[in-house]
Amino acid sequence: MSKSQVGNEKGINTKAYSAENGSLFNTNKADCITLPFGYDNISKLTTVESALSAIQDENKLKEMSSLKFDKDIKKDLLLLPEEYNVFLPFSKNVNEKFDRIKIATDYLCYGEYSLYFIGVLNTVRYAEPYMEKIYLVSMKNNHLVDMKRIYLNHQGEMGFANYTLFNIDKNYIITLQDYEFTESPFKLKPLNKYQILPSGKFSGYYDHDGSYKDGEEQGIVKNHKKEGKWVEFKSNDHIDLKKYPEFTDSYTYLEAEYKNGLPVGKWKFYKLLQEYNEETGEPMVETRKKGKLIYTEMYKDGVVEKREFY
Amino acid sequence: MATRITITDSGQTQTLNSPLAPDTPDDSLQRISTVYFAKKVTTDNGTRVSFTKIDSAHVQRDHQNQEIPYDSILGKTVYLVIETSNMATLSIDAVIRPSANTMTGNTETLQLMRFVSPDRYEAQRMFTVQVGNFDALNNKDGSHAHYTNLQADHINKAIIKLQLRPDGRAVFDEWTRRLAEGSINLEVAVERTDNNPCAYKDEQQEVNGAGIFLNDDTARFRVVGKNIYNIHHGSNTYNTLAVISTNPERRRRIQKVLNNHSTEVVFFYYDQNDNEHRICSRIKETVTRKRRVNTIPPLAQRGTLLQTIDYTANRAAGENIDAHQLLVYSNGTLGDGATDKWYANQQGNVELVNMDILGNAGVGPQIFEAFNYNQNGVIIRYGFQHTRRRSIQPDLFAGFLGSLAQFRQEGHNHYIVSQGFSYSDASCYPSAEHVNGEAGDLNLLTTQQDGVNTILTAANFDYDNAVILRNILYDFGFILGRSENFSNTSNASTADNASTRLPHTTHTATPRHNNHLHVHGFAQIPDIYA
Repeated sequence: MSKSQVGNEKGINTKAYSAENGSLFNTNKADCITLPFGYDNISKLTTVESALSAIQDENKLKEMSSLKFDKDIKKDLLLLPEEYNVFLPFSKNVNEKFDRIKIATDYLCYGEYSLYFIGVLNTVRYAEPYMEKIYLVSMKNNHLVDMKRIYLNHQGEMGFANYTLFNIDKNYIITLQDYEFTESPFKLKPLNKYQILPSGKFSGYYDHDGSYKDGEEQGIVKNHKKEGKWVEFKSNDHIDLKKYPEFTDSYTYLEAEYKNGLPVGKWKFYKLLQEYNEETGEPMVETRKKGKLIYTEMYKDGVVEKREFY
Repeated sequence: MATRITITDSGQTQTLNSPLAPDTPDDSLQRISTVYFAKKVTTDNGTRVSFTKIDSAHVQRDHQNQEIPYDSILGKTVYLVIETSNMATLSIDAVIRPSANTMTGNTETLQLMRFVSPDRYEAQRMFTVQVGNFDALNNKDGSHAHYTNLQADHINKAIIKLQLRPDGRAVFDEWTRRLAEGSINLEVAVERTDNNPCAYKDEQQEVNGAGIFLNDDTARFRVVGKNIYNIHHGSNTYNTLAVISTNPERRRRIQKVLNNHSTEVVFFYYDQNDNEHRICSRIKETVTRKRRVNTIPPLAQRGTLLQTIDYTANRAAGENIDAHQLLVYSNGTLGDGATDKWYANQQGNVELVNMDILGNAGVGPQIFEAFNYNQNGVIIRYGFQHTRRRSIQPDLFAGFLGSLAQFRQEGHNHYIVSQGFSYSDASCYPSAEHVNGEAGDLNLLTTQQDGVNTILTAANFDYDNAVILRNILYDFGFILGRSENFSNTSNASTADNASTRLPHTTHTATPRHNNHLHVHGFAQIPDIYA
């Protein structure tokens, strides 16, 4: 799905990542991984059984740990605003005191960019820590450019679990598949693909150019990237329901604009009005309407310059 | 001293002539020396029996060693022991009456339920019992032969086993309504069935008429009204509750005495040798039933915001709980988390008790010990981790306590840690199935036995003991369970090397059940009047 809405906010202190911390980030090309890497059969993992089999595949877990998540790092080294629709954003849901954050020695080399694997280990659920999240962090000259969560093994209460599996193919296209295991019948979520833009940022990758539409977004794809006006209907992490007691969910109706896959211009976030299926609890796409304007974002060079709430 | 009262066939008493003045001590007198209520205590693996007095002169203590301000509870099973000398095989009549009219409206003798060997209770007003007859000690097979000290220690006793209740629910309700939070003293009048004289207490001569016991401040039998659960170890041969399956015979393990005029619930456990253990007491809270619905109503339809329970501090301290906060409205509860859920109020109420008896303060990812009972060979220890859902229906709690007690008594020392049942308002964000205190999750057992959680496929998963625990939970009423199919060649158990699943569970991967045992579908416990 779309990358972007928030992008890198202006004013990020990049000094923290450079100089004295430079040694944290390996630059030895001998440690560059070879592609493909990840779950190369990801597009076929469409059932509960196949997904579980992959999630629990010891060999895959070993492959990931062979990246050598050896060095502890601090959370503030990685604080970047994430997309508005990220489930479990890094800034809010990584608890530095109890989650161990580790950077892997092996990394992904992509031209002048280095993409590092940052693992977040859950240390509290079992006697031994386990890998709960992996972020791919794009860097250039020891400066943080972008980050994206590519792996998730979130084990919630009463077995409610969320997983993300990933694959990075030889063309550096990153494929992510989210899974949700709840009491509702299993429903496969859409496969998401991302590419690394020349700027080092991640952006949605679409197989075909032309008009695109799914249950969450619609717009024009050009050169496999979003281009021009897009409309997106997604859960929005910036909506604090306590401030909007009349809302029953945090979905927004977004009028966005992209150029070469990056956000530009003024984005308008309206409340998405929608009804739900009483049986399944799923939103009914045909009932969706634009509600009141909640906030706007102004972008310049793919970076949000101003966020204004109404 | 002897009184001028005799017992008639109707159980009523009437005044007779006064006794003669005592002369000199005479150990050859036929004597009823003492009469008391008692609980049965066995030793030597159930082969020796004795009786412990329960009255104001022999105060019982609770699990925290605090004195209990009463001696028994309406509906409870007790023994009435009449100690005699020189009265072998003679028959004695006994009646029990309240010392004040606050329970029944009068002080007439009570009709109570007497145990009739081997397995029933019968309403009687006058209890006739023979000295040296041990039918009151019979198990469900009508035998007391397992007690080896009856002739040596108890041959001069007349023993009655009875339940402190009338034979009808309506009368019981009337008694408990009148008694409410109060207490009633019960006295006992005894007399030889043949109406011949005998000496009472330490009087020095035999007299006609009845002797009255427990009627002064030297010892009173103080009875109160509360809810009771009687929980039996699976090997308890005195469990006469209904047989629910044969080959092998399985009985109901638990019976309750519902008291409509008390919110306190006392849980008693009868171990494999029928020793009684008072485990704990809890207060029932009545809350509106909840059901998770798929649509969240707008604020205007949620009613008044009654309470906000915030878990920010818990989450910041490393508790892996999913709710950020619970907003309790008059029409339901909004669970605020990654995806909000609405728990709508339903028709009717549900009663819940707080399982967290110790109430350890603080927040964090550690195991919070909630109960650690360790008395007279019974150990019940459990805790909670990564959950604030610690409320449960009293029926399920009785089953939970019984399961843990038996598991431990069978020699398994695992610390049982729960991942939660329901929040105290009967909601259970984010689940639908854990509402109303009717389902719970337990950490999987490990060979370390320390309560720390694991997964089915881990090298420290203690499958063999997990099977034992699951079967015990089943026997105590947790009929349904959820787990996952798995195989594990890395752990010490070999029975799970090939694909298997814990007994009495269905394979459920949505949501996942690879890191906890989910139990639900509890078989409701029948009331003593059912």
